[in-house]
Amino acid sequence: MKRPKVLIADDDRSITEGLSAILRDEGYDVAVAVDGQKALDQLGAEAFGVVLADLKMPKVDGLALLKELQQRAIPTECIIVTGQATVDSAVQAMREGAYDYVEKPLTADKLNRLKALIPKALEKFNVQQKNRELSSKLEGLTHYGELTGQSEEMRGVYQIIEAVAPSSASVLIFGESGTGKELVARAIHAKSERAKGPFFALNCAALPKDILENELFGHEKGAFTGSVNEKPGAFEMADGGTIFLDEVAEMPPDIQVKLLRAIESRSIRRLGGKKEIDVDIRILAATNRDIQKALSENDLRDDLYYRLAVVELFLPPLRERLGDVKLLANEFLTRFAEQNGKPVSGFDDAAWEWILSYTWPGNVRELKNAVERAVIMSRGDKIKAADIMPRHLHRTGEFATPITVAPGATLADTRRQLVLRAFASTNGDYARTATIVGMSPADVRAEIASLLNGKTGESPAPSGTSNGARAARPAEVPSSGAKASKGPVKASAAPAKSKPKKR
Amino acid sequence: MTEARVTDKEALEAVGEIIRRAGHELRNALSGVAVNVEVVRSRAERQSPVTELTPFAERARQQVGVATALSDGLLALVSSVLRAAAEGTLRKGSARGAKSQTELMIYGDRAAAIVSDIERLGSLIDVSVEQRGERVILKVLPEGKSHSKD
Repeated sequence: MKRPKVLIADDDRSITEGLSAILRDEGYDVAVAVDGQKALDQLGAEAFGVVLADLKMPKVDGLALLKELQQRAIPTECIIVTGQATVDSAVQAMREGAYDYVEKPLTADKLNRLKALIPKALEKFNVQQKNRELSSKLEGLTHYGELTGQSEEMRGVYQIIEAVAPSSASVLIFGESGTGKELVARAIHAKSERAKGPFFALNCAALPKDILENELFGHEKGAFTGSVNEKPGAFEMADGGTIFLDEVAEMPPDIQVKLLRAIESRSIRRLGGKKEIDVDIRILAATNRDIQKALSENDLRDDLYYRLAVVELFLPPLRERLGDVKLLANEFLTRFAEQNGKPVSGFDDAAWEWILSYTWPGNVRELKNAVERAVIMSRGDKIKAADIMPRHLHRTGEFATPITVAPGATLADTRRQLVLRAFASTNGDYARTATIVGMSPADVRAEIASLLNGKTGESPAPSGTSNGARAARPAEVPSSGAKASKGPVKASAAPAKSKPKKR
Repeated sequence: MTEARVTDKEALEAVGEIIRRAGHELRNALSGVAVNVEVVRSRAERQSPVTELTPFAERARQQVGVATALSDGLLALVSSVLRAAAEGTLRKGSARGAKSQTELMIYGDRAAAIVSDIERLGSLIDVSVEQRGERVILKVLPEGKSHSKD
């Protein structure tokens, strides 16, 4: 039988060496991380049943580690070792999801307690792991690293990651915001030979030029006013690992030059420094921009682009992988219900219909936030359509913005949009939808059902968001006469389904 | 409250921070001793080869050294501070420079002796100890900058 894996995260070598010897003698497969960041990197790369984490560590401390584990839903059980005499931190650790805690000094009886705790924590981990395996087997391949999805599109993404990860090739990831570009980068790092090395993510658009440069390359003491200490940059800190540059097309041009130089020479120079420092880095980058446009407008240098885009990976928007929406929604629901201690068990039918018919312009992130908000706001055990709808669509009457209908759209398409809009505006009430659009409730049901089954009709979608079928001159469509007393109904364009589904 | 008493209170708060840090490190060092002794004990019980025991015994011994330095330094610090407080020669310093660092000053002709008693302690807990004439200056530095644990 395989030896169960335990990770010790502590910066004190006299403790880690002794503790790993004790645990190895007990029959565990032990690894050591000297700070919280390294612990996270290792946990992202391989599964550990139990982590023994010191509360006080450089970079990422024990509590921050716990939070990050929760956030990234990395399965493991965490036992916190605390040197603080206060109970506060221990209590907080338990609240953040620690399995248990042990106080220092680790005298013989504390060590015995620790030895007794580990098998229990492992058992809990194994039971949960079995559940996870079982549910994922039922659904085929639903997860890859921290990515979730079982659609053809996502399997294509997994295949590319699988293929490029072992090499050291740069990968440029394209995808709308909220599609999970950083998760792809993490997966590539985790599946690579650098998995044990650090993973460093930087958002190039979020930082002012000087700070970005400093973050990337570091500086020497006295490089500029106020720089009393030297500081290594991301390139040095990620040595032997991976740097992920998000929104790389927003990087200022002169930093692009420096970056190019660093990639080509495999070395960097700190700000104000004379010394060339060799670095061993894999670079992953991402952008949500149209790359041809960014290149022609000189926002991204051609030579840098060719360096970064040895492999290009396109991450599909959520509306192009509708098959995954249900999986993701269920998964977020379970996660947030657990995190918030809410007894929510699912979505009601109207909520499902709304979730599946909305186009999710903010992609997985929007879905995630919507489910989180819905869980927090919900009363009762089922999420209702009203809980999950974005607030700007959250009206009970008419919608403010018009539906646009492309020239050449069929009557069926237009009717479908109207039904959907009304359906969303009534929080999924069939009867009221029928009244508003002037159809029989049975017809409304049939319309919604055909939408959910992917039979979206024969012509290109009217308010196409991605397939180029945008109307040259949008026509406003008044609703049928049922509610004429309220004046012409202008329906907004948001939750219109734009493409025939791929399932 | 008189001004002198405010100074006393602030000075004692600085002493408190130093003692808290020393306590934390002491607990770490004792953990190091306990854990490594435990390896030696259990391996000896199973009659493991000596080569599998000695590194741990050595590490335990080294940690005993650290613990000793910490407790000796702590005792020396506390007695010096108490004495200075009684004599009215304890001051909370106002550090110059960008960051407002906590600084503690002990005046008196025993400055050199105090420094040699608590220098090692300071190096283990990120507190700089220096003598300037008849003054000992203790600076409480940001944690985790100077000492290397190994």
